[in-house]
Amino acid sequence: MSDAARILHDPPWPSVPRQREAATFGMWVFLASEALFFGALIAGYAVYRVLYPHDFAIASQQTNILYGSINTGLLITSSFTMTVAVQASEARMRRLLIFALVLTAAIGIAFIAVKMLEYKDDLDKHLLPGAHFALPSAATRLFFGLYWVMTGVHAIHLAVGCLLTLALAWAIASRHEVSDSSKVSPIALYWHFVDTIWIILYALIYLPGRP
Amino acid sequence: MNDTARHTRQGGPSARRIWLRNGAIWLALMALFGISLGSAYLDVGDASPILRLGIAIVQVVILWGLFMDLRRSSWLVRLCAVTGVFWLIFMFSLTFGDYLTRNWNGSGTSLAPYATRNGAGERGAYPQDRLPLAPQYGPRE
Amino acid sequence: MSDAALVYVRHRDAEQNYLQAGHTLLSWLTSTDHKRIGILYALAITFFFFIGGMAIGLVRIELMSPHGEFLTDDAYNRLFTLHGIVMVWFFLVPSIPTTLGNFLLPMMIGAKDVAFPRLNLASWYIYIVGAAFALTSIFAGGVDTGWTFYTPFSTMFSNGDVIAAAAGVFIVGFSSIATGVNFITTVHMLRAPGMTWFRLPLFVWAMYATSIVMVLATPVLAMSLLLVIAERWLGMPIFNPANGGDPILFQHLFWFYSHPAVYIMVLPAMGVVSEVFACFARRRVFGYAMMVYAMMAIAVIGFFVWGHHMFVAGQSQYANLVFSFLSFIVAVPSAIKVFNWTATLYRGQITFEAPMLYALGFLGLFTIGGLTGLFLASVPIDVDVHDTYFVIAHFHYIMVGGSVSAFFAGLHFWWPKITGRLYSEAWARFAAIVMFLGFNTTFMPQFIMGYGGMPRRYHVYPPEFQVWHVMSSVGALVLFVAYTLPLVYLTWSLFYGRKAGDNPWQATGLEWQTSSPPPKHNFHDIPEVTAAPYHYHPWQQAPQARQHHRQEMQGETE
Repeated sequence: MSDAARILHDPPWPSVPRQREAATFGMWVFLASEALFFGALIAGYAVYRVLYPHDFAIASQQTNILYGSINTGLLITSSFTMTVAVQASEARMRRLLIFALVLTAAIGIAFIAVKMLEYKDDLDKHLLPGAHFALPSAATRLFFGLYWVMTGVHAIHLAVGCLLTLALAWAIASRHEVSDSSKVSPIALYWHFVDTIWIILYALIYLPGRP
Repeated sequence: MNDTARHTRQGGPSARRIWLRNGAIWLALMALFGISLGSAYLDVGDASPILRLGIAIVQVVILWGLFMDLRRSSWLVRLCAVTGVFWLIFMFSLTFGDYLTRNWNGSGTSLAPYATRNGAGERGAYPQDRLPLAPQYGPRE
Repeated sequence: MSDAALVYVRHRDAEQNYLQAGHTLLSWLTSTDHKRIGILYALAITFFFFIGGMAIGLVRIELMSPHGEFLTDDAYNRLFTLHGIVMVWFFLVPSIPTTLGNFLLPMMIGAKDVAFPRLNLASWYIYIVGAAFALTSIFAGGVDTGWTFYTPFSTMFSNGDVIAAAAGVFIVGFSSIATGVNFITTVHMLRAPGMTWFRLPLFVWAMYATSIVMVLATPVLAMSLLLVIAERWLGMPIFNPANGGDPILFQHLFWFYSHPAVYIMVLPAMGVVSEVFACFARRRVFGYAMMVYAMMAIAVIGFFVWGHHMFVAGQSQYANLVFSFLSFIVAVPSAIKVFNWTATLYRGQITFEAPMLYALGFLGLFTIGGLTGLFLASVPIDVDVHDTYFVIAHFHYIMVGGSVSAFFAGLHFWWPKITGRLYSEAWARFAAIVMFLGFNTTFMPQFIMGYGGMPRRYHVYPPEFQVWHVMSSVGALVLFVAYTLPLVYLTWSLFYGRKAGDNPWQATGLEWQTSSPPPKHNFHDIPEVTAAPYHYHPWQQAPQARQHHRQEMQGETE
């Protein structure tokens, strides 16, 4: 069954291609703001890393690289499946699109599950800055203060991404949206951006101080 | 303009091609990830953060260029994408311009001997304790 | 290129105007019509303008005596903080972009709405949620940190409801970002045929430049406040010096936003006065291209100067040098604009309707504010006047003398278009003059006492400053009258004002080619633009005097 009859452009758009172009462009503008949002956080991290390199290296060693690496693998894979979804949408392959979107969201949920395990592990190791903090030197608390904020904010963004992806999958499955909907591209861009942030956070949080 | 070609089911790529084409990019990203993880355990010395961030940047470029389709996007979209990066460069460089120069303590100027903070100047204490007061304030107690 | 402005068709009799399309409260609260959303915002910011005004009214009464007569130190701190937070984030930053910008931007480019109408409505609700948090903080007794939330006081030692206040500002920042994304996409993607970039009215360019700043600067504020909340609420040590944290880092992140924020507050004002000057001098804006480049330059270079707020905070001297130099540079495009506005007026056929009075006030007051900014950009001077009333006077000359004057100019200029009614010109001119006099009475003494050493944020002060404080407080009372007057006569005009014609000012611009109030979809058919903006007179000729009769009205004669 074709979706042709349902292709309507919403006001104020004069045409569907224009609307699609604008949706993509608008999401890129928003991603510029998100880059600054995370960038401010990473700038704070970078300043303290430069001021306290030794303490930050010690603190990095305490992060759980197994969980972190699993999560990186998961997110890269989710970007793969999300791109499949985008190209399926362009080719109007409805079933592939829905499958890829659901798979992407599932991987995202798996990421969050692993993250929860990791947080539990961190709490067991007393890595929450406070009275019983595990490490002796002061600046390691800065590292972990930033760690909880950085990974927490990222996880919230990812959760929002999962919700949007599932909502889109449902809308397409129930035919509220056409398969080449103008909403696919922006949601995919957002997803890839969240993955980008994770790739950078991974390199900054988990990898230093290992050998 | 975004040239998302409107392939029909008949004329467009097959599902297999979509999976394979993107799977190759996925493999590249995973390989880079593996290298990054492995190299973390090698002792590369001071180059370590540069190497790790460098690999991350390469991954991001691949992700943005191929998965986020910047390679096929209009100049406007690409401008948008790099603007965020540029603004981050501005923020980082001016902020680090403060932090990296805090210890300079007037070096290169005539006030260097009076430098305070880390006591780097040989006169030690704050300049206003050592330099003579302006005449209207009378002799120092 | 001919001067024939437009080719389009209008079906006046068939179309309802936007005010008639739905009369229930729900139709207003669920409307995605940019014009209705502009009005929703206008109501919200007016409410907060008076909240912020009342707070400072109490402060100014307190300051009439040097001994702290009826406020405790803590209460005083909370009042000036309330004034700052409310006025910056809940009034000034949204003011022109979300009210006049929302209403006019699509019309000026010949579009039926903004790019993402539902996002537009969502941005208003985000504002309301942020406002709810801020009001919670106010009802809980307020915050005493100053609007700048400096750490470690805000994170560790303050006794006010910092978390609610910071959360309110954090949330309302996303309203800003949403508006910015919407406007940028609208200008790029929805211009009518023939509306090239260099045919855009300067108000549109101003909205565009402002939106770029909103999108790129606001997230950094959001993160800085999130870190304050994380430290205070969750105990995450980030700025705590005991753990090696640097309070100056907070200041870097905070001012990275807050300096461009002042450009968010002033660029729209510049856009408004460009429109008003052109209309009431019957002149093309002098140096249109340079005006565009200057606005974009202000938007970009404004990001490089934030350290001038931190000259005495503990930044390195070399950073001070760089930021001082860049701060001098950023003044240049603003100066270019002031010269161009003056040149626009030169040999124009000037008439002094209320919008023009407000705009002329802007011109002078913004110039004074800008020049005093140069003093502050100079490190040796700033070392003496930092944290004194000199700084307060400087930024109020720009924010109030500049932005608020321009807001009123725009409000009056486009009032007939938005409401379809004419306000009382006599009362409006009177209010404009009272505002100008009241403003200078309030803030000029502050330059003098600031230079004399009167510190800001103190309610107990040496008696030699009392005379200036009393002058300032009397001026504040006059300002209160000047701000209340428009509330009265504009509201009166809604019910009893004469109906306005489509173009009572005989202004150029697409918004004047449609009815007052406009129909729901702005234009029946998308217009096609073939002329440059401000075609008040042929290219190389002086303008002809407009027939100076009273404002045009529909069906009646004066």
